[in-house]
Amino acid sequence: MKLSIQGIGAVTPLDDFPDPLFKDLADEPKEGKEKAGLYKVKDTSGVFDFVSKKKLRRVDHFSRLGLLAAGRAIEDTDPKIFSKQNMGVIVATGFGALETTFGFLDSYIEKGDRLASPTHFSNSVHNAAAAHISICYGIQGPNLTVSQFDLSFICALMTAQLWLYERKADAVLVGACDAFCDVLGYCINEFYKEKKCKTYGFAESAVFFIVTRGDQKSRYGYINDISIGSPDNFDMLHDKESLMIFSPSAVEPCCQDFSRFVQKNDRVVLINQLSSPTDCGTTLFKAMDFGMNMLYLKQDMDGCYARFKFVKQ
Amino acid sequence: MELKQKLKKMIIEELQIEDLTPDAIDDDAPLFGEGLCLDSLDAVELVVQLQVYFGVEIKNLEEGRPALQSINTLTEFVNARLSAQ
Repeated sequence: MKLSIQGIGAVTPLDDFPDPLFKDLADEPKEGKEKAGLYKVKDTSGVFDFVSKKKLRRVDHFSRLGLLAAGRAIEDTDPKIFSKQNMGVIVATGFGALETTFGFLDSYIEKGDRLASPTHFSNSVHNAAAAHISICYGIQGPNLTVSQFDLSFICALMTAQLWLYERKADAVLVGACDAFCDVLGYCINEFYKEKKCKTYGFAESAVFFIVTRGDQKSRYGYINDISIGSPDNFDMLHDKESLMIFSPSAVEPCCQDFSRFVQKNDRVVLINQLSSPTDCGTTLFKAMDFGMNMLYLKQDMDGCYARFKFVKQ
Repeated sequence: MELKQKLKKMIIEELQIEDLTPDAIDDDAPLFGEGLCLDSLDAVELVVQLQVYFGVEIKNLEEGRPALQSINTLTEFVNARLSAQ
């Protein structure tokens, strides 16, 4: 069953930093691309357009990213489609609220278990962003957080597909959210020094889509062929018009493995290896922005493959 | 810095209350519900931070309820505990 995209919303640092990777989506085919750098979202104050400052007092940066992107997706969607009673929420995150989690762990180490911050704890759980989204926007359908590192977003898409198929929801607000923190920056630097990764970069971001069953007409396009499997049984059917996006896992040198899927004259972009696990969400967003069909292929650290297709109409 | 000011500063910083200065907090205003509009999670955080900042422990509801009414009641409570140490 295909998914119909009804609304989109994103918060990425890529608006502030022109990104050569995404520029490639609109340019002539290239064999591959590397990028470097750590990109942070400078300002999330736009979230106050959707939720009052008072309600966001204890909400951390990770959840604010999610709230802002989700708010933009809701705003972008036809209100007739957005029913709070019949809408589900699925948030995919590879790392969760890293900075808050380390803040909680620091307070635990420094002060002991009795004096660790309860506020930090409440925000450090991975499903904090999803909970804030449902509470702040009054969404009453099922709520789920998927944390499966590289494959989080594609697993979230599969779950959204299942909910719609089983009619647990008539629309699903599905998205990806990951935030930067200093410890992650340190790890990325260490990986780079040890040459465990070929490329070097991380972009925090949040991207949300409101999807419905495929029989509803979409303003943007459709997602289909969402699947996860082992490399031996992974079918790589694609049409020549689609741009192929390869996104290898963080540290494994698995770029070469993708070459067996590439045929002559394919248009291929290779995503930086240490991009955020949300990269598939941001890539889908950019592909839609450029109005291109896309086949997205992800490989996780264990060699498992996942893919989905975006078709304009 | 006097104790009352220290408590106000602690509340603003640890409970992440933006756009408020210590001087703007009314000493007799309720901390919960009205006034500062704190909630149950703030109460837990406040109990933890009183121990971190002043080494003062609120052990149960009987102690906590009268102490956490306002800045004035909290100051009296912390003062009494510090004097007894």
